[in-house]
Amino acid sequence: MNRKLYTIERWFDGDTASEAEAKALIAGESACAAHVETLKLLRTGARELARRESIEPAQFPAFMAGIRERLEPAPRHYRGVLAIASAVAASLIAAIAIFVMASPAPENISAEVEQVGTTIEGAEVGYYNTDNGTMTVWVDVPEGDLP
Amino acid sequence: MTCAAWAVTAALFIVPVAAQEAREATAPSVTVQLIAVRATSQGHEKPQFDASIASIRETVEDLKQFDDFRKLKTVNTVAPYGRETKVPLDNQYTLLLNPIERASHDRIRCDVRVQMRLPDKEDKPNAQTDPPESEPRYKEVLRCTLLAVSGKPFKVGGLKLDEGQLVLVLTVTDKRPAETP
Repeated sequence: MNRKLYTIERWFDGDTASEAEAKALIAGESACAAHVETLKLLRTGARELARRESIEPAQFPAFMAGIRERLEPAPRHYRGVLAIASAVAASLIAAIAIFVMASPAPENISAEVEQVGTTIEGAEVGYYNTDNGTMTVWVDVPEGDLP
Repeated sequence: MTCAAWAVTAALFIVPVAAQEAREATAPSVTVQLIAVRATSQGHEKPQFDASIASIRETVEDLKQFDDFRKLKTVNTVAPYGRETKVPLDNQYTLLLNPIERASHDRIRCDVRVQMRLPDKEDKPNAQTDPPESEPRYKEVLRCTLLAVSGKPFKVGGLKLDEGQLVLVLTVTDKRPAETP
């Protein structure tokens, strides 16, 4: 059997001397006919592998778009979200600024502090309003820091 | 003739002085009420006040770290706008109050400073190199600029005393009508 298949293979590869014998085998035996079909399938596959792919100029933009899509998925995804977040933040800041500037000073407080300071090293000056509206400026002096 | 000369000389002195006093009398100013308090913690169940400063109870009631408030000094004075009025509080601290401007019908922008006298140098000055110390040295221990509501008290405090801490309750009032800022 192996000899028969070998004869068919030699004919398939171009050996004209084996042609008569090979054709007789293919016609006479189903196994030999099936072997020819297998050889044809292998040849077709080998040709497909050997063929080099090329990109036509008309296909190039789509090719590059595909590459970019794979390379930059995150920026494309977040760009819109970041833009919306920036716009919302800017709107909030503007709204708060307008509110602060347009709001009248609280009526019940006794004073508004514009500036505080101390020259005592390590001391901190803070200020607050009490519940009854009394402005309090308080200097917190660490122990032993007065000259 | 001699009497006439004396009269002219006296007039030359008196008239400018009187004019200056008149100007100062009419210059815009604020009245200042100051209550300087020593605040300490004595372990009282309820805060204790001198009878004369019971009115500041509401103003200092937030100072929970203290339970005893004793008057150091009460001052009622007039402070002209644009000038610093000095109020000695004790032998250590001095208050300087400068009403800067009337910011609106009931608000007064003012600068409040507290200076602390520094201890005199113990070393005797070198007569040849050191200038003689004629005036005490001060350190500015607190400064704030406020927009105070006329007639409403605010307080400044936290500075250390020999015992306790200093609390200043200040009320500045501009009694002029609202239409003449």
